[in-house]
Amino acid sequence: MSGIKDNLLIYGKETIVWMSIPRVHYSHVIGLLEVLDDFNGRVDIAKIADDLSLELDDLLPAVDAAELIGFVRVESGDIQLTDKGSIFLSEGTRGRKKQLGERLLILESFKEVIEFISQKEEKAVTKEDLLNFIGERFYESDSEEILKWVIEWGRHGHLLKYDSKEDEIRLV
Amino acid sequence: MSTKDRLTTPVLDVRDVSKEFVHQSKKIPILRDVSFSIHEYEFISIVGPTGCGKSTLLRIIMGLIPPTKGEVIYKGERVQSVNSRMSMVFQSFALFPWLTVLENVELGLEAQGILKEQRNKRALKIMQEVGLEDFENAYPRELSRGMKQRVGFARALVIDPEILLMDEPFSALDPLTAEGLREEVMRLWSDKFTSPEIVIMVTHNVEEAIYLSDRVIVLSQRPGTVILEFNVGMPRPRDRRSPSIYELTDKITSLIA
Repeated sequence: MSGIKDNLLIYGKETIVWMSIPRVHYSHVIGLLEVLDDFNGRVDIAKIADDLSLELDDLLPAVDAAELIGFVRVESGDIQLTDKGSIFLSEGTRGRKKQLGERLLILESFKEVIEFISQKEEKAVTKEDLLNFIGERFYESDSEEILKWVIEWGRHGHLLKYDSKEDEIRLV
Repeated sequence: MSTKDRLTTPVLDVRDVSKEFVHQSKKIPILRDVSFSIHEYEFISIVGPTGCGKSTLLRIIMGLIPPTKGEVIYKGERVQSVNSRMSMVFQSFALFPWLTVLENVELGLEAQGILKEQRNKRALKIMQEVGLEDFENAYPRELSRGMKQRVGFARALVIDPEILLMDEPFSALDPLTAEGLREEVMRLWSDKFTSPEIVIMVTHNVEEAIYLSDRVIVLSQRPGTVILEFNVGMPRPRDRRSPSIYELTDKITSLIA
């Protein structure tokens, strides 16, 4: 997904839409931003991997996710904190949630999910509802996996609450 | 507080603590004559090689297990049972999988006999501070390791402890997650609202100890005994990648390697 900003692919006459959403844990993105901040906001990606004794393969998904939500920019092997990323880091816990929520809603696929839920009268859906929506709307082989990321990031962005006992995904 | 007062009134005094375990009628010494004092508003780390008894020491300080010899004095009184003014963050999170995040956090308050409504209010407040808002109804299985440890912090902080004990709190986390959570702990520590008066952290990671602490106590190999104690003396916020932290880390690592 690296470098792909759009979630559309025209393939012959078919338009394939997949979900461009972060697919790593939030805590990985936070860690990446904190390290980047220590390197004064710009550094070679390989140097971060080296510093943390991580394989590049383990680091790149976090880089992709951070780039997708606009907190970093990647340029010829260097990763750079954007203004949005710096502001996010400077915020406290609540401020970070707010900033992240705004960034997530810029992602077309994420916005669609939120709109799908907000169209419901009770502003809530079951897990099954959302799985079906994702399965029909997006070109994804593993809707369960996608749903897991939607819920995790939705919670961190103060957009969604999920109660597995009540089987309810609700807008905040 | 004057220097003299600080010297004369430690909050916690570990005096000549030794610990032996008996295994197949053989005595195994774990700790030998460990002594140090801790004052208000100190962040202390205890470092040492694997098996040097540092986790055992933490449990003795909290009153979970008695020392074989010596004593722990907390505010002038000898620790003889579990000290309810202390709470612990564990390496392995130690969450109850059948309880929600909120219920896990409230548990610490239940033991103190605090009413349901109050428990709820305090738990939600501390969860907000550590970034667990919107995760109230989540079960531990829904969480990443990093988030699980945030629950560990919330559960320890919710009782408003005077002393927070942390046993290798970042060791079960991947490097990126650990990086983020260490910063979070620093933020909590500098915020006097959430912060306990004293933090005692046990770690095998020397760099982490230097980065976070005011003072570091270095234990030898088993049986662990204090071989060095030093003030870090670097202003916060610190840069984990600064040359001074590198140098100090090298020096200490060579001592215990």
